[in-house]
Amino acid sequence: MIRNLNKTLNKFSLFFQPITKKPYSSSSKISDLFFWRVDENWRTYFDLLNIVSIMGGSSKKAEIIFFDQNGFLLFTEEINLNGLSKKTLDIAYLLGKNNIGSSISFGTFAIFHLSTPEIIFNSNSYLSDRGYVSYKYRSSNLRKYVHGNYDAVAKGENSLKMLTGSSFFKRKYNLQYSLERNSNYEIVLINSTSRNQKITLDFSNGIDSKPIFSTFELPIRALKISKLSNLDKNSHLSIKSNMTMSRPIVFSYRKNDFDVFHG
Amino acid sequence: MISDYTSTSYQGEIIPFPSTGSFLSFPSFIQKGMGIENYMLLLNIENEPSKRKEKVYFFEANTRNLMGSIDVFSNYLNLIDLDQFCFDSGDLPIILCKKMSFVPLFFSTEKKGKFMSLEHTHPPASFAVHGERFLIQKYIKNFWFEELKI
Repeated sequence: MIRNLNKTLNKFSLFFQPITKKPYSSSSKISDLFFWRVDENWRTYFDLLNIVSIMGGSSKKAEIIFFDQNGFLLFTEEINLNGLSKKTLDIAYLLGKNNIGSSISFGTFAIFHLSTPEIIFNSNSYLSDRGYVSYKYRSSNLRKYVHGNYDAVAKGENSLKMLTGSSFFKRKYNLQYSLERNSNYEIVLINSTSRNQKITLDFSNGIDSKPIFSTFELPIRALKISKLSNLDKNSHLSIKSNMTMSRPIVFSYRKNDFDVFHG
Repeated sequence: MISDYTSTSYQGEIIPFPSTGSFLSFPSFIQKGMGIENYMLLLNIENEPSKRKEKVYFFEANTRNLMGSIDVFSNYLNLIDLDQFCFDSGDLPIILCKKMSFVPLFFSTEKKGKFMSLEHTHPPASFAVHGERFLIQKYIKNFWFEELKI
């Protein structure tokens, strides 16, 4: 009976606590909070597409806003768009141009398009960029792509609003990937809700074995990279928090290469 | 996807498409450089267990130039070499099919599998949140099908 009651309450909370909340204003634009990392091993890129023009509108500029790993604003820059051409932004170049030194080696950024196509207004919708980030590691020339994870943050006239919902009850997100023994991983979680979150990572490698827990606080807009080295058995990860969605970005390392994906 | 050197994956799921579906994608994944190869995998599973043939068209978005077309099949994983269409690094390809839907996967490799990347594009509805997203998707598809006259 308690189980049934829990199920009913969970359904109720899903209805009132959507994964993505609505922005304050109908003219707000939405972006993911994209993860960037830049240091002697890493470069990050973003493929900026003119999504307003793709939707039949006209746009010449977009705005990129950078945050550090604690969620604090670093700088804002306007980017000129060139018709429908793809513009590959080199994040290291933008950081250097804005005097962000090597003491800050990772964080997030958001992309907001500066106009809204008519079809968006007519459909009571909001324009969102959940585009494509790519990472380059050490000597490889190949960039590894991963698409945006959330409709994380909205920009109105003068303010930002975090859009991922917070739940009354703890929720569990099970990574849809089996972590392999003897492999190394980084699990990246970003708090795109409007409150601080207590998050528990539960690495479990079977009924007989003892789960490994890691619990941490994540302030609003902050991110945490959890490193996982040399698992002794294949394992599964579940993430417990009050976020209505806590899908992480996973970096997986094999020999001299890496992979990046959402799990 | 696994090679002797590395592996690459994406998170995805698929439910069978209706045979009345269509497809429009704006992939930005084509990479240029020595030893880099780019492929697209068009995955189709339909309610109807038959094998249909349709055409997929490749355009460059700015000029609207038709770069090529290729035959594809339903209930099949269609592997397409993207380098044959000679897109430049700043080009935005528009890939479309009026009579078949796909999950589009993009695979790039450097030095024959030493480094690999795999990702999919979202359907056009992903440019919008809340409201009538699928009306927006229909609008974008109609806009480009008319614009490119196919």
